[in-house]
Amino acid sequence: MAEQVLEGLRAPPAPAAPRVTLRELTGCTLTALHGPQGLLAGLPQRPGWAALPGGTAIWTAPGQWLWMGVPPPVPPAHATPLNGARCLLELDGPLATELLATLLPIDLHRRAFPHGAAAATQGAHVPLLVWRAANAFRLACYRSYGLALAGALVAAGRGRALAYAGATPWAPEPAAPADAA
Amino acid sequence: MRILCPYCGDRDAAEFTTIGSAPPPRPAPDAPMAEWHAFLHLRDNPAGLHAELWQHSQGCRQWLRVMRDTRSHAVAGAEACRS
Amino acid sequence: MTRLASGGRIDRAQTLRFSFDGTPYTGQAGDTLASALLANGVRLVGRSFKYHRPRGIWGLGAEEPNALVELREGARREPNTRATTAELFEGLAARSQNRWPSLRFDVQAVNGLFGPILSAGFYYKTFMWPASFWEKVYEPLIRRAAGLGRAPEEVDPDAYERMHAHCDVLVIGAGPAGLAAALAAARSGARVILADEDAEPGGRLLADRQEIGGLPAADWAAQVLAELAGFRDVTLLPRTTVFGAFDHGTYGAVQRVADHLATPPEGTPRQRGWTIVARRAVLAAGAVERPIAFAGNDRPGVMSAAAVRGYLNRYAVLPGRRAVVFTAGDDGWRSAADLLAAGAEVTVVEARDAVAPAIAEAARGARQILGARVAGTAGGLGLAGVTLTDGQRLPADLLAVAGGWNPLLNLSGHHGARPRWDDALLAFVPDAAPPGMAVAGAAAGRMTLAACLADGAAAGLRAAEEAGHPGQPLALPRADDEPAGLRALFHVPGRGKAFVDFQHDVTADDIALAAREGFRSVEHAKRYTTLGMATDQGRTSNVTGLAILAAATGRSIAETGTTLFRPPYTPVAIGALAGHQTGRDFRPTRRTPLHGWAAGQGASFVESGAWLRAEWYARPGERGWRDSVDREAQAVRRDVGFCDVSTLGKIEVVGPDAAALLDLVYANDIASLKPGRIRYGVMLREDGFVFDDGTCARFAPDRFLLTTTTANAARVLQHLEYAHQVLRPSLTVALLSVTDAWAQVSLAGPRARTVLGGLLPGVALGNEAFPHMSCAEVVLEGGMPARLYRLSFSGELAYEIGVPPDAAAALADRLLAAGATPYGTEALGVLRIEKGHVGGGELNGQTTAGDLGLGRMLSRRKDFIGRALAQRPALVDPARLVLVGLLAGAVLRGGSHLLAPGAPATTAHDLGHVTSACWSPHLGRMIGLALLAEGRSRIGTRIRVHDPLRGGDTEAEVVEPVFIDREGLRSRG
Repeated sequence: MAEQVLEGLRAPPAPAAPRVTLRELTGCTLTALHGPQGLLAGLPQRPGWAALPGGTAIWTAPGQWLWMGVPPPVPPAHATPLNGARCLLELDGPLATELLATLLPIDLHRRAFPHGAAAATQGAHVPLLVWRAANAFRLACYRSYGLALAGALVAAGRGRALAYAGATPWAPEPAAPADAA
Repeated sequence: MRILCPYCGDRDAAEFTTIGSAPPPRPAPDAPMAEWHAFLHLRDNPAGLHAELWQHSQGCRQWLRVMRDTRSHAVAGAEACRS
Repeated sequence: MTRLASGGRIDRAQTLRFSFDGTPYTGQAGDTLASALLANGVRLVGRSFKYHRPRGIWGLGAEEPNALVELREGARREPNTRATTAELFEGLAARSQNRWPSLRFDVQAVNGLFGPILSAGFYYKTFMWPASFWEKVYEPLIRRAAGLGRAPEEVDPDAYERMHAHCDVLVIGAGPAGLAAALAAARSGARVILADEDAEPGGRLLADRQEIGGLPAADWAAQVLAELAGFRDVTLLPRTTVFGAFDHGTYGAVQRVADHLATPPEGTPRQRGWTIVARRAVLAAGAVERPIAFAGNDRPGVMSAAAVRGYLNRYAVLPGRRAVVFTAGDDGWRSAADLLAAGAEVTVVEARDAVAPAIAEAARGARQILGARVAGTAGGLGLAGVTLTDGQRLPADLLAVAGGWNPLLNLSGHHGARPRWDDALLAFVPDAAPPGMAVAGAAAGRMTLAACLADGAAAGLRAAEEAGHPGQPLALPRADDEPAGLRALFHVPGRGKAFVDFQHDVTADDIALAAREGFRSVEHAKRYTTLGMATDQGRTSNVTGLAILAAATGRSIAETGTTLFRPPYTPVAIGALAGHQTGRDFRPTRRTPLHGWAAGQGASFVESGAWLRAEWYARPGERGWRDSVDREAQAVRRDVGFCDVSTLGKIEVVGPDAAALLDLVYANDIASLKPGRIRYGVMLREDGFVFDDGTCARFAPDRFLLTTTTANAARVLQHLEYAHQVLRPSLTVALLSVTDAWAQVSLAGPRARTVLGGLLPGVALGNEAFPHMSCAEVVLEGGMPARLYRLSFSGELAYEIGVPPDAAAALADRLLAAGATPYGTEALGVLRIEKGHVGGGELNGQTTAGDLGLGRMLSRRKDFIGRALAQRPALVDPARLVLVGLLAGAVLRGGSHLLAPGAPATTAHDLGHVTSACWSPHLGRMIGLALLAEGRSRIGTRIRVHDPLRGGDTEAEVVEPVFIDREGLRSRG
């Protein structure tokens, strides 16, 4: 079980009417899956994420996925436990896209990055994965970078009514509709 | 500069690292030293299309062979090395 | 000068107070500093760069060459701010520059007397002799005399931000062409960004009295902007300059979020630096009027005629009551008409012999002198009169000069294209543009309002279509379509300084001089005269300058060409490029899972690349770091200690071909490593030098865990990925960074096994059951999964324990409770130097395995990266520097050079250098590791250790590079 990575994150008090909220997601079991495409039914074949029984799979490289949730039924040779190797963050609210655009160089417009999209990129010089759930963005970075990335998000939240809501238990993202736009 | 990663799509070059010219094929273990010297040191320096190796280090971490025009910077294409 | 009783776009209800050179004035909201100064009758605003000539306001916007002021005070002071683009705000404080003791009386104006000596190229001909004078006399004097404003010395108190945006169509400039382009693209459904450098978009529509579709042009602009604001996918960016066209549709822009306010509101950045990726762009940056060079053309009161129209129509300011308009084209007559309408007395000096009746009719009421040219001006600190070439003198307090228009095509040249000269338009127009960019409107040489609207609309529609959004052509409203006649007039020859580049004080004579001295190419003439090299980058001087150069070298303007255009288009504050990433946030910091625990234990931290690592844990009563480090190192050798080694890279290599890949990258044999065993490994670069060292633990036939040095973790992973994807793509193997998956603690010392046994009851840890260099996956008491390794960096009996990061603090507490001593990187370093284990100082990229005493590790049975080139003669030369140990009586420092005793301390006698050094608490003296020429044969001799940089000079004994337990019994027991 992952405990809070963001110990000591300095954030201003939450505003009365937040327009973007930052949370740390804790308690998520992480596994790296590696092997052929057919390792598990429903694994994304290109950058993106998919909701599968028991968890969420995010494409990270050809033949590699980040699995979040109960370790899936794959042979041990194709799974590597990651323990608490990632800091997981969630951002939502009407200004979430604009805030992320100050740090991330990729196109986050709904048409270019719809519900179901995922990308490996960097923000504030921190390598990270970003994906769009129904009404929120989720980010994963190496745990050791967690405080730095969260600090950069809090700094970008100045003037954007950001509320840091502390830690929340991770729950799988609801699946993207098949015709997500 | 932007590179069209065959996996991740169009991305800024800042997400990549490069070793420059794509090296020629690695010589056989018993090749004469002259071949190894050429392999290590000799590269063409064309005014025009140039094959380079870039890794999408802050993305999918795939090594790509990128064709770039050294005069205009135009990137003609990028394909994964492993394919 | 005066504020007109009506008209203009200023807010007459909002009066603002400001000061200039300490004198208080008032202006209106909507004014620029320049318009407010003119409204207050202030004409003298600065002194020129070289000659300290009195200067006034020439232009209307970003092209202004003269009115450079210091804006604000204290930490926010900004020198060289154009008064024409500084929006007035309550309390604005501005000062003139480059004058002492005052603007009206500037001592350095005497420089004007030295004109003949200070001509072009004087930098290269003077201050050369005597050579010694340069550093002590000339340079300090020049430094005091040169430059314009003063930069602030305090830290910038403002915050800045970056922003990334993607769009289908980027429209640069919101004048008539830009507005039409943005509208056409937006209606086609494209994602549009419209950027304009002004606070109020509209461009020349706000400065001229024109109509579009029967409406005042400014009203048409407002309608278009209102419609654009209603589109969800249109972003309007006023106060934003697109300063560069970079590769592949990438544009840089700076948004002046709060420059127009006294201080930025809480949470608002001062400026925002944008990186915009646009599928298509339309450059609609307009055109700027150019001056004519004649003697005394820089006197305060000489202004651009088009700028005069702007002051009249936009700011309701009349810059002079007795105006002379000097023109060689129809456009100047529009300024005459607007001046007359504002109540000024106007004389038009027209260089052409005749003008169309309609043109002359529009300026009925002005005295009109045809076939005439201005030869000079008179007046002290401001214009008092104008002299014509035929000798006529005209009293005047305003001289409005209309020399023709230069399309602002700069961004179209940022990829190296040069524009072409159009003889009919008497202007440079774009020839080629960066891929994806179209140029429209005046920037493309369309000089009537109707042509701008049509051109912009067509460009916007085409851009949207090419970006995947076909649409309908815009219905174009009626607008003026009369081309303005123009005759070429760049220079009126005569006696006296005729300025071409106002900001750098470059005159027509300077350009002629450059040509005479052989600097005939436009690129050479630019650098020799410094024409076009000031902060305005030749906006008002380039074309006039090269026209004069063309005449002086007997070529056409087309043959002479222009210099290249480079970003940035206008100056950009570095803060806007850095955003939040300054100071501590320049690069992100990485923390280990034990960071909080270590801080709680009083650890001091050191930066190790991106990481923070505990370097020692001070205890009460300790006087300095040596006390702590000595204690920690001794605790390890006498008892047991534990150290956070989480930062070392950990790479999981999994798959049926894992061993095959590792055999390629490691110089020593890996395939034969049995599951449950660890091997120390060395990787070479392909050129044969040592790349990195680390351990390789095999947990299963298809699963390995590699460690790397902290510094090389990312590079080693990249190296492995290269070896797999590029050299051996057919291998089935996965490479995963797991540095963050495991908190890693090393437990070292004679009591290590006992302490470990407390964590792993029931696990056989005896020397037979778990010998040196073993590994296993275990479960700690309490159910925590862990990885156990038996290996030793310190030379003592030692283990490394890897646990999930959440369990790290609990593990550390248990070890502490068992009486183990926490130790940091300094003690870690002492222990490994005592044991002769190589580290960063030795793995410097220039050493071979042989140099480090690891030559026997290189396998003879297999191919590996670096094998062939490691055998090059220079890499196996017996005279190479090899690893030795040093024992010294005095302080040894890494980097000190080694010399034979008695040899002169010169590089010719350099025998090597100290790579690592420390005080050894176990030996009670300074020890070191060093790379020494023919080191093996010098063991047992003495060597001089010379450190001229830090004042060290001592002798040391050369010994084997291992100081403790040479046989290695302690780690194997």
